[in-house]
Amino acid sequence: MVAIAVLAATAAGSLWGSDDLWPFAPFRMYATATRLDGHVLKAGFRGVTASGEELHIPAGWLGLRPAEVEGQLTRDKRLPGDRLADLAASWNEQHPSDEQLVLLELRLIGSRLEEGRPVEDIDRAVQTWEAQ
Amino acid sequence: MRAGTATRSLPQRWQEYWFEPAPIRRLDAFARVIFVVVGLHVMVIDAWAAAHDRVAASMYRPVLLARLLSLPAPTPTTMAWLRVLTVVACVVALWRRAPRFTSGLVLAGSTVWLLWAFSYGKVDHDRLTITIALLALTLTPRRGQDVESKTGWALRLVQVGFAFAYVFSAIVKLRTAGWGWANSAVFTRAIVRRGTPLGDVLLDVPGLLRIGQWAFLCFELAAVIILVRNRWTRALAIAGVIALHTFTYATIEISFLPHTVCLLAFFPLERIGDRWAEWRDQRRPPAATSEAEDPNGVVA
Repeated sequence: MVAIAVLAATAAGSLWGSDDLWPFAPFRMYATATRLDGHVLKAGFRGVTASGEELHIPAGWLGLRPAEVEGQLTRDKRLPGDRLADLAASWNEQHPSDEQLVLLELRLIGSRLEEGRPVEDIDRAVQTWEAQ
Repeated sequence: MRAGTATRSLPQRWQEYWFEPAPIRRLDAFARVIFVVVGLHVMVIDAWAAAHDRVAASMYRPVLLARLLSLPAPTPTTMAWLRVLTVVACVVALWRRAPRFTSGLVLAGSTVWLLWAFSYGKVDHDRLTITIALLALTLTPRRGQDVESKTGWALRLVQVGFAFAYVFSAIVKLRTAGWGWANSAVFTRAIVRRGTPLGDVLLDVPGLLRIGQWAFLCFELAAVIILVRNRWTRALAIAGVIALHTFTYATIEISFLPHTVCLLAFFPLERIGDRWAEWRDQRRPPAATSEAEDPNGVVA
């Protein structure tokens, strides 16, 4: 009975479920198609510190994987609410004053594809937080 | 009288398939590997999940089970406690004393760990098989009536979970993108995001990547053949699984270790212990053996 229940729950999750149902979530990693003439983008950040230093901040420096940031983006590719400001505040709590951020920019970084081959680099800002 | 395949009813064959007796030492060996892998993930491999303890709380998007358990976002203190307790449970479980209780502790720790890992906007699909393995270990005794049949059931559950992970993975691809998935640039996307030197070379050959995508999808749909008991068919399927994961690791550095380690449920792991004992006995000096057998210490 346990075996059948586990298999049935996994099957149901795969056919009708969403990530919310983990451990019976669908196996979605790399399950979506990517257009041969589309874009491959990955979330990253750029920051400016109180001392004026510019930093390229991989999502991991903020405690997240790029896919976790992407998983929270809205349709217009922005983090909803105050989440970008919260990420900056969280960074500032963990760093000394001269390394604290006065600006944090969410960027999408990757490549443009032509016939399935990367032909052009992309690096564009999609959302900015600035200290008041 | 031994009943032939043709004379056995479907329920009988179903029962025989699920409860095929297996040596307890096989499950012991498998369990120990699983506990080591869980411990390694919690302490070393999943550093990204441990880092969630310093993420802004507004990024915490608890999945359904976390909400049902009213599981709050991790803090540095709660995350540290969870890691320590889970690893201690893994170490204690290696002894295989009170196996259901200790396996249950590892299952509980691992589940909370994964709920915290997957409640920040991304769920990985390589953890279901090891979770099924921990569930099977939690439900399987080491002594009592029919213990070898119950051991066989535990290993079979892991095997079936392992095989169907591929089938369900293919179903989700077809449900999400249809057969067009195999003609898309999904491997290119994976390599651009997390490429390796080999992957970067393959980016220049998109046609080859598309052939790889078709092979990948077809293999996932057919992977269930690993469950047949014919030795050669199973060996072929296991070779396919190893090839698939070797390719994946070589191109995008994802090992799917918590899933791939469960491939060991298909192997007679107890023989490793037998071979080790034989090797140890052969290395033992014959004189010492003779002395032990001869109370007077006189060697014939």
